[in-house]
Order: sequence, then C-alpha cells, then structure tokens
Amino acid sequence: MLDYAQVALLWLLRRVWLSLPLILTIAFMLAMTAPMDLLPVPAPDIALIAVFFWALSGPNFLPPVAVLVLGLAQDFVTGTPIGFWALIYLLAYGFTLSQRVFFKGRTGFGAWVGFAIVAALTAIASWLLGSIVYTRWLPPAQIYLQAAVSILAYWPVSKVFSLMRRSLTTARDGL
Amino acid sequence: MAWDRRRRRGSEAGLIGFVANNLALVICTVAALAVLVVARAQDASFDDARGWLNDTAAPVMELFAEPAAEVRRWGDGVSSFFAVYEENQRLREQIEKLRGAERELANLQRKVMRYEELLKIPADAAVTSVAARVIADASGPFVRTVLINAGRGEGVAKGQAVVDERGLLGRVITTGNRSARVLLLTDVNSRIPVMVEGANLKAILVGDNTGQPVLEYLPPGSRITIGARVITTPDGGAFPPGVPIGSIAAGVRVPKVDLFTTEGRADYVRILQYSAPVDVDETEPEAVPAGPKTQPTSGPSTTPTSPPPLPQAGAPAAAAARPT
Repeated sequence: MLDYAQVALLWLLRRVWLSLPLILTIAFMLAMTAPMDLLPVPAPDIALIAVFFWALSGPNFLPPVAVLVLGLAQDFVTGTPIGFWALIYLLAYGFTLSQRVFFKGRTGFGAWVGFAIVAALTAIASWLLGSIVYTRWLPPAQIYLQAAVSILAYWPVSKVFSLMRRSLTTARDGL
Repeated sequence: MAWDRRRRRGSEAGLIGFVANNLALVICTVAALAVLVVARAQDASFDDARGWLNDTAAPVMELFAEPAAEVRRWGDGVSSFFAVYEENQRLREQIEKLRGAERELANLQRKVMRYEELLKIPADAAVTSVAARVIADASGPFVRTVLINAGRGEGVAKGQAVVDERGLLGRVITTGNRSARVLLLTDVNSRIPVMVEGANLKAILVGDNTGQPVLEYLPPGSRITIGARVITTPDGGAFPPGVPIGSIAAGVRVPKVDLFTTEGRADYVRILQYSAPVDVDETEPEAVPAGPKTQPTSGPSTTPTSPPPLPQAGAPAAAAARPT
C-alpha cells in the first residue's frame, strides 16, 4: 500500500518536474502583466521565446499539448479570443520544428537569428489572423514593435531557459 | 534517442512525412483553430471560464501588483526629482488659476441650482461607485484590457463604466466573483457613445489600438473645434452623463481624441454603478409619426388619412442645434 503511494508520489513529482518549463513560463507570463509601465514599448512575448527555445532544444519538455495550454493561458491572461495565441504558438512551434535541422549550432548567435526569423513571421501571421478575427485591419506598428522587443529579450530569457534545461536533463536520470 | 532524432528529422520526407511524425501537433493545432472559431462565433461562450480563471489568477497577480506599484513609484520619484523646481513653479501658477476658477464654480453652481428649481428639472439618477485596484495590465498589440480586484461580489456588472481621477478609462467586459476585466477605450473592440461639448454633437468613440481613439458616426457636415471636451452621454443606458473622456486632438485628418487618462498609469479606479432612469408610460401614447425629415412645410401634412402631426418640441430644437 505504501509502495503504491510512493510510486504515485514519485510519478507526480516527475510529471511536475517535467512540466517545469510550462509552469515557469506561465508564471513568468503572469509576472509580466504586473502594472509597472516603465518603458513605453510593449512587453516581450515570453511565451513565444519559450516555444522557440524548447522546440529547438528539447521538444520533449514542451510537447504540443503544453504549447496549446500555454497559448490558451496567454489568451485568458490577455483577453484575446480564446484559441488565438494557442493557434499562433502552435504554428510557430511547428515551423521551428520543421526547420530544426537548418538552425545551425542551435545555441548562441545562430539560434538568435533563427528566433528573429520566427518572431518576424509570427508577427506577420498574428497580424493577419488578428485582422481576420477582428474583421478590420489592425495597426501593425505595435505588433512589429513587440516582435523587435521579443528579439532583444531572447538573449537573456533563453539563458534562463538554458539553465533550466541543463538542470532538467541532468536531474532526469536521478528521478 | 537516436531513433527519436531520426523520427524528428522526418521533415525531410516532405509535408506529409512531417504531419505523420507530429500527429499530436496537428491535432492540437486543429483543436486551437476549432476553439478560436467557436469563441468568435459565440463571444459569450467562454465568459464564465474567463471569470473563473481570472478569479483563480487574481491572488497571484495581486502578489505581483504590489511590488510593481512600488517600482513604478520609485521610477516616478526619480524622474520627478530632477524637475522638482519647474514642477513647483507650475503648480503655484496652477493653484492661482484654480482659485479663481473655484470662486466662479461656486457662483455657477448656485445659479444652476436656482434655475433647476425654477424649471423643476428632475435630479440626475444617483451614481454609486465601487473602488478597486488594477492588478494586471494585459495590454498588448492586440488587446487593451486591465484586470481589477472587484467582481460580482462587490456589485460589479458587465457594461459598467470604470473611471480614475482623471476621467473614463473603459468598461467592464467580464466579471468573476472577485475580479473583473476592463476593456480600455483604446481597444479595437471598444465602442462608446459620447458627446462633444459645446457643439452638442453625438458620436461613437471607437478604439483602434493606438493611443488616440477615433470619433465615428458624426453627423455629416458637423464642425468640431480642436480642444473641445468629449464626455459620456447616457445614451444606451450604460454610462452616467458628463464623465470626462478627453479632448479633440489637433493635427490629424480624422477626428481623434486625446484621452485624459494615461494608459497603464491607472492604479486605483472606481466602477460607476448607474442605471439610466427609464419611464414606461402606462397609457398608450398618441400616434405621433416621426416628423417629416426632408422638407419642413409650413402647411398641414399632405397625407389625408392621418391627423395633422402635433408639433414635436424636441425635433426642431435638435435640428437647430446641429451646425451645418
């Protein structure tokens, strides 16, 4: 009886451990909504950075279902129509996954350039989808500005994710 | 692991190979698309879920909101420190100006009260309000909303106006038990009935995700002056009349409005609970057809079947009020 409980607990801990990228990204996302307003530019899209990073260097830690959950969470947090960010993130994830072999090096500058391409394409896709969803042309300036801010933020944020990945991959054998 | 990697590289086998190797991804994408279509087709279908999730996330967001406010205050302090002398001079001048305005205001208030008594104007419907705090600012390039920490439990309901000390901020769109989401005036989905003061023009204030919402549906040929104040009207029964919104912006082709409130700076807000007074007449109203809009003829109506229309008090006055 005790063994079952222990196994269940271990299983649960393992699940939580493996969903840490998702949980921490959502926590990060919530923290970004804190009404601070220090800079006159939109906040970076942390979820998109997470989607790109994990699609490139460890899709097992952020499977498609987790990307769906992440997108839905973003929709609920920001108030966009439910499914909007989920669809955009899944498309970005799929695109990154399909182009994985082309992103040379995978870390450092190569990955950054890769993210810049994905962020630009995502901005165009989200602008078009947003215009369809709201049935009017949205002013694109803010969308591209956010993409630029996200590209700048990729460097430090991906460093945090790298640390997380290292600890996850080394600790996985232990669990 | 090697097998896994080979499997992942299935993208080389073309689109079909990629789809076959990433079935979960395809299923999730289709699911997201389906949810989006449903959400757009029936806007209210996720309202309860949104309200519940906002309630759940509210404590976490409140946790972040307090240090964020502290950081903002600190930032404000640093920037105002360097301008403290100019600020002081400006405030002194403003106080002098406001003292004069205050005396005038008291006089005018007395006068208006007397006139109202003389004319027996019914008092405006009472507006009660609830105070709340902005706990999350989810404004992005697509949506301009904020989350506040008061909900149905405090009497907040969908459609109520939200103001801060400077003017109208937006209106409530979804409510949870202890949190609510406010659609800001700049959001692309925001439509508010407004009035341009002075000219007495009614219009709809439409957000377009930029800092300055646009005035639409102005009567053709209407003239507005730059700097004229834009206020709420009780049309539609959602907002109390006369809440300041902004002023007509200069140097733009379409009439845009400079808002009095600054987005992202709202900290504490008030939710106005207003119900427009609606009188329903018990007796059947006399059949008064709408006055002839095309040509006001001095003679009696040309339609012989109906009795000559009674002169409507409101219609000519409204027509005269519109400058052409």
